[in-house]
Amino acid sequence: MSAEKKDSVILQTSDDEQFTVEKKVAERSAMIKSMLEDLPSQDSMIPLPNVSSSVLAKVLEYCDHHKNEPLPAADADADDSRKKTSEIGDWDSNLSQVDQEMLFEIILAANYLDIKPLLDVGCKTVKLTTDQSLSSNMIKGKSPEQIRTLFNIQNDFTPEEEEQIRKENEWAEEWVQNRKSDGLAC
Amino acid sequence: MSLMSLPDEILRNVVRQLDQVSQLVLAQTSRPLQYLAEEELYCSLADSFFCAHRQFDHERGLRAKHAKLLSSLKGCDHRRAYVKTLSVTLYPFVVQEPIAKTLKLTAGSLRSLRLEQTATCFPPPILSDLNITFQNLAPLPHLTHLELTLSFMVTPLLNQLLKLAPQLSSLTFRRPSLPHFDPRPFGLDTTLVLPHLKNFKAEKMSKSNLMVVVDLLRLLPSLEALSLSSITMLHDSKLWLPVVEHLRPRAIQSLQVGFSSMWDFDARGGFLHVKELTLRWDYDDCWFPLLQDICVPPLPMLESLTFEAIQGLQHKLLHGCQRARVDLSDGITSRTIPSSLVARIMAAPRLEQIFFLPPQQDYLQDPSVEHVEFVEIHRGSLRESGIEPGLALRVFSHVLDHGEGLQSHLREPHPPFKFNVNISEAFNRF
Repeated sequence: MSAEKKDSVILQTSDDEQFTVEKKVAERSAMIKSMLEDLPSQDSMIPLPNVSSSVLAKVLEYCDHHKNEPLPAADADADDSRKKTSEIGDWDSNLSQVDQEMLFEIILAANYLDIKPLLDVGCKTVKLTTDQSLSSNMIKGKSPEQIRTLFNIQNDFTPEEEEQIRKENEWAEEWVQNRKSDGLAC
Repeated sequence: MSLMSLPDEILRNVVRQLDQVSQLVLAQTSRPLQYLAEEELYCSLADSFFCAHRQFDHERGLRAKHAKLLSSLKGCDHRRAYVKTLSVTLYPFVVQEPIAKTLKLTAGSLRSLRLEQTATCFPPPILSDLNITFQNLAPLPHLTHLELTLSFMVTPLLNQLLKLAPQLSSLTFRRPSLPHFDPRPFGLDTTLVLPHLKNFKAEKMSKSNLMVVVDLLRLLPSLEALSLSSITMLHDSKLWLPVVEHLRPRAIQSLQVGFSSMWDFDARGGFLHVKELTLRWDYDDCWFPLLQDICVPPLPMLESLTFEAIQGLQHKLLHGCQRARVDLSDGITSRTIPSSLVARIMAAPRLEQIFFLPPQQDYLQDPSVEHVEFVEIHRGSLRESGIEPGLALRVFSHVLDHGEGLQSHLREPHPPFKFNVNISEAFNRF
């Protein structure tokens, strides 16, 4: 096997398409990295039965862009350090340009392939989508119907139940509003 | 594919990214999302709810708000189970009944409880309220973290909480920083056993508290990490000796204490299991240690040594070690350590790194601090750069990035220890 080939790996998607990828790029996935460590050196074909070619193409685009960045620590999700941290970078925000279905597929793939930074970007993108939909109606006092429509969520509450939940969480709503009017973070 | 087809684990991650207003709205969209949103909402909101007390909160109907919170917790098992952390600040003008009830309702699920007092004088009715509250606490079967910043009712409260929380693994006891505060001694029920408590912090201890610290340490057979600090001027007091002598034979792995001769690591032995040692410099800045003044304890298991709150880090401390200075090609500056210090480092055979941290106490929490300078010493080889093996000392910057109230800890873009690749191998050549 040539030196060039040793530095690459073949990824086979659920729709039987093969991607020859630089190892450094593929190893952004903790799952692939660990598989490569276990594989015999001459065998570098990795089947990915849970990822389609269109999704893998997007994922690899992300991995290639970030290939020179340090990998996150193995226990990076052990605490809340990733919670509500920095915003999405300019390049990563391109992810929000994909349609909702593709976005969820990318999130699932990132979860399956164990690419934590991409999983975070995906979840933050959903957050942005939510924020935009809410802020366009100024949030306060608006019905949750908007979110249901946006994400195709089935309403399994009766109107009475919905009203009860709203009432039961009223204390929190008032508290959040007071904190906001005091200029404190919520 | 829709949002609801994502696994709960991922949905939870999405919900966590939302602000609380969005979480509230999301909770009303569907049952599965209600559970996920309320899990996040109640965990973090109940935590800070009681810390929002101020005089003006009264005017806004604080009682009514508390009543609403209590009613939402009473009517719903899952919400009570979501409250994992409760942080209660005790104010002298706040009636304690809702706090007591919330504590009672959530006791079964709480993992972490923090109680802090904000004043030295509480009116008798409030004190009486508090007494009743804490006498009637429910068992805390899952509580693992307890943090108390108190001066009154310490004895009954501490004893009561320690009894009710058999799984406690971390305890912080702090003397409040309040004006005109007269710390009274407190007692401890010495029949208690705390087999799971591994992490103990006793901060700002006064003279009268030190013996209680020894009593408490005796109840902790599994103690692994200990942090002790006292009020200023007590560092070198002989009152510390019982504490030090009690600790010497213990199997403690992480120790944070004041910079004091009382510890006498060199001559009196002990502390054989300590892997991480932090020595805090709590004095005023009329005198500051130079590098050659610093004692590297000859502890056999010591891997990491930190000197915290070193005054004048940049200009004073380093003055003593500028005997040889080399500017490496990539702009990293290194300095050779004085031989006296090298000899001391050799006496701690496993010591890999020494950190010098600047005086800011809360440099990681303080949002105004954006640029913190650290000094680190690593065992290592400079051979890569054409320099003989040695100990390299380097000053470098950590930039704290404050995104949305949390900070990431970033190093300079270039690798800080480029010349320090194979630490152990290099050190073996000494």
